[in-house]
Parts: sequence; C-alpha cells; structure tokens
Amino acid sequence: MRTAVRLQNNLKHPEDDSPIKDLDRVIARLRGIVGGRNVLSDETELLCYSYDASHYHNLPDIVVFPGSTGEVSEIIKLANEEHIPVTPRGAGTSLSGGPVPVKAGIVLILSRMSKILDFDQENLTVTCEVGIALRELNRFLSVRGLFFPIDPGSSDTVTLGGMIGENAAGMHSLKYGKTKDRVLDLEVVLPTGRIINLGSKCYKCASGYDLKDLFIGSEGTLGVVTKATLRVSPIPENYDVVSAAFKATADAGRAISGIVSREIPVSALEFMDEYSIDVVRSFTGLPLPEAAAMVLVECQGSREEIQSRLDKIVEILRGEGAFEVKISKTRQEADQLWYARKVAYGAITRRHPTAIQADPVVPVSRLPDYLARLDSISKKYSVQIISYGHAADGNLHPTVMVDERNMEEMSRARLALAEIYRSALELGGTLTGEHGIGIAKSEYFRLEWTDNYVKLARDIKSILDPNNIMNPGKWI
Amino acid sequence: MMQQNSKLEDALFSCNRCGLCHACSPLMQVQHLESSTARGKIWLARCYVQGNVEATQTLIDRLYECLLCGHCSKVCPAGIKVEEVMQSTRRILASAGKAPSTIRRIISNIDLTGNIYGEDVADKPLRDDSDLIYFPGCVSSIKHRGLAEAVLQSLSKARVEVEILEGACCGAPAWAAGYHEVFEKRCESLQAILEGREVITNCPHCQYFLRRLRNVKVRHVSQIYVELLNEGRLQPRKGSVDTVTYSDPCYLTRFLSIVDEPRRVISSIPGLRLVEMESNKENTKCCGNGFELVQNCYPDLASRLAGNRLNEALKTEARTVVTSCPHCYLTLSEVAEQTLKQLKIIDLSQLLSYACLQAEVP
Repeated sequence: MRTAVRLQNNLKHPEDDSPIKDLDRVIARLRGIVGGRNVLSDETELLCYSYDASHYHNLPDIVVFPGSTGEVSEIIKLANEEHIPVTPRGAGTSLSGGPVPVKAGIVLILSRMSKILDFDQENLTVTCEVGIALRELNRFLSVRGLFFPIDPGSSDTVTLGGMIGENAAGMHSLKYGKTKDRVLDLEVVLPTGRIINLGSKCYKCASGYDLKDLFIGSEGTLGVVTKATLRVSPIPENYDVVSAAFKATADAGRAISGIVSREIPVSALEFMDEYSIDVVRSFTGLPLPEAAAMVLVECQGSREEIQSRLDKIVEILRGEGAFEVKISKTRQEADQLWYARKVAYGAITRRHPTAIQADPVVPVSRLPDYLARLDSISKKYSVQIISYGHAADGNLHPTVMVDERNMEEMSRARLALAEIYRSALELGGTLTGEHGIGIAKSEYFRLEWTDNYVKLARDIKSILDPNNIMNPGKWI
Repeated sequence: MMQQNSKLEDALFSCNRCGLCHACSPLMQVQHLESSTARGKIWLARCYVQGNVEATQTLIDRLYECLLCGHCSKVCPAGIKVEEVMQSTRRILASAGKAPSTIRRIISNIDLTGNIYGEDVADKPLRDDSDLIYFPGCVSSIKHRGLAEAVLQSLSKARVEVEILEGACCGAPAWAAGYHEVFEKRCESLQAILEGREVITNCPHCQYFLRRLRNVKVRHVSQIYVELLNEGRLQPRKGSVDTVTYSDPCYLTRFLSIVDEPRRVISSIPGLRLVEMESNKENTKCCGNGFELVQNCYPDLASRLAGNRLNEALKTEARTVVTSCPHCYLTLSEVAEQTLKQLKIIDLSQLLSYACLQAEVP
C-alpha cells in the first residue's frame, strides 16, 4: 500500500487497481533474478521513472535493471506468468509518453546492458547491447573515424534501445535514414520470455518476413530488444551549413519545397520559427537572425561538390525572399548551428512552462499550407504554437506552449493539438514521423488508420503478447 | 516565502525533462539513478513543493546530495539555475526541520561559532590600518592549515602584507543547506568586519559569497599571484615535479570565470608541464565535496565522486593533481591517501610557495 508518495497524476492509477497482487513476493522474485541492488521499489525513486520528456506521467510499482538477456528473459517470464505490465524505458527522452508506465507494473531499464560486443571495421558494423547511450557508442566509434549517424535532438542522452523502440530519426535522416535503416540484426526477448534473433548482419536480407522491422518503432509493445547490430558510417570530411533568414514563414516553406523538388543532394534541411530562434539565441548566445523563420541546409561531399550545391541552394533561398544568407566558415560554426537546432526543445520552456510537442509529417510540397494552418490554429485557440523541425521530410514539431497548471489553457491546447493532427492528415500526412504514438497520439490513431489496420495490428500483438503485458494502455 | 515558493514552482515547471543534464551529472556516473540527475531532482522537488509527496528520507537525501556544482545549469537549455532551485527547495525542507542531522549540526556550528567545525576562533575585529585582508575560510583555517600557511608564505615572499581573518565561515554552507537566516546572519557579521576592505581568499566559495557584501572587493589568490608574477615579485624556480594536471574547482570556473589564472601560475614554474584532464575548465567535474555538506553528510558518496574525478586524472601522465579550492583539496586528498596513493594532491598556493622557496613538494 503506497501511503507516503501519491502523485497527482494526469493518468492516475487507482491504488486498489494495482496490477501486482503481491508486491513483496514479486519484488523478492525479481531480486532473485537480478540481485537486490538492481530492483527499485522505494516510492521516491519510482517517482523518477514515472515520466519521459512529454507531460505525461504515471508511477510504476517496480523498476528493474537487468544485466543480461537471460535476466531480461526471466523477468519477462515472471511478468507474463503474473500478468504484470512491463514498460521498457531507455533514457526517458521520448516525447510521446511511450515509456510512461500507464498501467504501472514494472519499468524495465537496460542501462546495465551497455557493452559493445563486436566491431567490424571492414564491414562497418557494430554489435552492442542496447542500454548503451548513443554518446558512448559514438565516443567508441569516433576514434575510428566513424559514427552512428542517427542524431535525434536528445543525442547526448538517448540510448540505443530507446532509439530502436521509437524508430528515432533526427536532423540527418535525409542522408542517413532513420534508425530502422541502420539496424541490421536484433536480439529480442518476446513477451513470453523466448529469445529470438531477427535480421542478418548483411546489408541486404530478403529471407522470410521482415520481422526485425516489426519490432523497430513498436514502442516496446511487442517485446524487449536487447542487442542490435548497426551499420555505421565514416564521419564526413567536409560539410557546410547555410542559414537563411526569412520575413515570412510561407517564404521559408516555399524555399524548402524548392530545394527538395530540384533534388539537390543535401544532408540536412531544417526549419525554425521566430520563437524557437529567439529562445535558442537566448540560450546559446549565437548571433541567430531576428527573423520570422530560419532555414538551415547542410551539404556534404568534396569541396567542389559542396560549392556547386551551395550556389544552387543560395539562389533558391534568395529567390524565395531570404533577407540574410550565411554560409558557415568553419566546421565549428556549422556544428554550433546544429547544436542550436538540437537544443530547441529544451529551450522552448524558457518562457512557457509546458511544451506539448507534436510530430506530424506532411508531403513536403504541402509544407507552406501546413505552416499557414498552424498559424490559424494558434489564433483560433489562442495558444502559442512554436514550430521547428525536419523540413525536407515534411516532419515538423509544432509545439503548443501552455502552463499545465492552467486547466482552461490545457483544454484549449488539447483542441489545438487535435486540429494540428487532423490538418496533417487532411493534407495527406501522417501523425508521427519519429516520436511514435505513445500516449500523446493514441486518441488520434483511429483518424489515420482503418478498422482493418487496427484489427491486424491487434492480431499481431495478441499472437506475440497474449497476456498484453508489454507496454499496455497505449495506442494498441 | 509564499512569493518565493511561487517563483520556485515556476522554475520547477520550466523543466521539460529534455534530459540534456544527464551526460554531465557527476552523481549519475556513480549512482546510476534517474534521481541523481538534475531532471530527477527537479521532478522530486516539484512533487514535494506542490504537496503531492511527503519528504521521505530518500527524497531528503536525493535533494541534499546535489553538489550544487552548476554543471547542469550550464547545459540546461531552459535556463534553469539548478543550484538555486535546489537551494530554494532545501529552504522549505530546512524550515520544516527535514534537513539531515549532520547538516543541521554543521549549520548550528556556523550559527554559534562562525565556522563549520564549531571552533571558537571566528570574527575577531580587524586592525584599522590593514589594507588587505586574507580570508582563509573554514577549511584552510582549521582542518588544513597548511593551505593558509602556503598562501601566507607566497605573499610574504612577494612582500605583501595582509591581516588574517582566521576561522571565519563565509556562510556558503548555510546558504547551500537552505538555512537562509543563518546565512544572512553570517553576511551581517562579515559586512561589519569587512566593509570597505580588500579581501583575498584561496576559497572560491568564500570569494563567490563574500562578493555579495556591500563595498567589499574580493579576489582569489590566483589572481593576486598572476599580478605578483607579472611584476616579478614572485620568482618560482624549477622543482622536483615536472608534470601536473589541474582540477578546476566548480565555483572558480563556472561561477567566477577564473580559468586562466591558476594555469598561468602553474606555467610560471620553470620546467613544469601542465596536462589537461578531459573534463576541464567550464566542463570540470565536481570533486564531490558539495559545500562540505555532501562531504560530511554523505561521505561514501563524496569519496566515490572524488575517486571518479581522480580516475580521470590517472588517465593523464601526471601523478600530481593541483587544485585551487580548499574543499577540493580536502576531498580529493582524502581519497588519494586512502585508495589512490599513486596520486599526490597539492594546492596551487602550496605548489607556488614550494617553487618560490625552492622546497621539495613533500
């Protein structure tokens, strides 16, 4: 019985509805599997595993840190036997509420499983346990001239497991793809505790169903990924970043569309609106422009290739009304601009306490329309909507800025978010590009998918997870 | 207080849990818990300040374990001053009588005797004709007097006359522990003694907090040494140590931006080479002392943090670690003496005074 700690949850789990019948016995069994130090049941510690980077939170009953695939399997077998919900969690930087334990139960954290198991320089692959932090993996790779090129905004914190669970992407997905495109092979503990290997260490594999990809981006609803073999890339020798400032977001939208439609090979193309430029400038002290919008474009290649691409890009940017176009003079300058873009989510709460971030994608040609719609949604519901994101993918992060303590403001925010998602779907888009459905988009899921889709997804889920223990209470 | 709490609540709510504070958290590196990070501590503080949870022992420990080293504030895009947020939350805990007993004892010492050790030596009146006051702070006055002696030897070698205000606490631990009234009382006592004076100190915390006093100019000894070296009034000679690394104290670098001066002092010694640790300058890692609060209340944790810092030093070729904060000296040297005997910890003033007196580093 929890008495000392009771959090006013927006997803409050009633005490008498605990999924664990005999908590002490389950804790003792888990301690028998992973050792006493690796099970947390102290109520204060549990509070810190109730959240991710979204505004959702709910207390788990237990947090467990397994040290091997065998231990994960034993934990899952126990949970399956006792019908205890299990929610896998990486570093808790998800923006969808994905790792929030909606049905309480066990939060499973693989941070003790962070070993690099194999590195193949000739084939440019690395195999590791997925509890490894991306920054540690890249520290290992960088001395070998390589990196794992998927770079979400949380790349300093995120773990590989979290990236696989959410199919993370980032600013360079134009060139390097999403996590899915970089994972060759997976070891997964299924919801029954069975351990399975999926995929191949080869770059191509058409052997059987592509079950590996079913697990990537499944948000921990189908099993626990424990190991992965990844395709890594050489760190680019040369890259330059162009930053262009616009007086109107629509002009920036057209410029983005223009660059994409002319198929100029760029490695990243990002958009930031006035407020996001403003807060990032205030945090980093970088001389970012006073503008309604900024577009950042990166080109990689030989010096000659970069120059020729830059010439075309600058012409388009200016043609669409950019009043200031700057090209990074040094690698450090380019990296600073990417750093500025990366910290945007963290920085936006400088003036509003609560950031509710969406992740819709629209066809890139519809980006100017979508930006205009966001503007009218903001006016209609009197909420500030900040936008930035991966423009060339048509993947924006419109973020509704509110104060979660203000209930009236929160209801307006909810209406605005519903319209943000509906508008993206109306323009031929999708609910999420890289953050996953989680809790945040669960209620809109049926707007995008037919009954047949949902039935098939549920059938697959019930075959793999008959007792619905894996990350229950989310979209599926 | 109510207005303060509302300001605190706003700051706590502005954390959107982006997690950028994880990588820099020295506590995370030894405890491996979400509650070790600024994000976790801010969440706990938020739950507590809102009245949603009680002050359990774990909550009290996690909030008092924070070193207030300021590293997470530097990387926080939301601009949260984590050390201030923790201090404000501790004020609420302290006023509810929830501060750990070891910390209460330290604060009571400061309140009753004017220093953390409870030694009755503080706050003597100064001579009217003293131009320059040396303020050694608690550690250099009482626990490690050798540090104050080294400062005085270096100053005397340069014929700088000072009067010492020995055994007086600047009040920083009281501030850090959330005992604001004790801190204010210390400030008032020191204001009366130091007003209109020029003060030098070898303690970054003392420097930072004495700067809050009106009409008192405070400088760190490293700044004075650089001047004396430039004027040729200190002439260090080659000594027996040829390579050192330097552990930047958090308050000296992140809060006072004194980064180059200690390095200039080190490089003024002929034949001495400085090799940098990976976490240096503004990205320095805390030694684990945490305003003497973590050192005294959570000594095992402080030792593990110091061990982590020293293991980074071991990755350099140097086997002598220089620091310029008495608290860093205290915590690092304890761990070096106990478990990392291959490392020698030396204070900047000691290094300089040995070099000026042509004495061997012991």
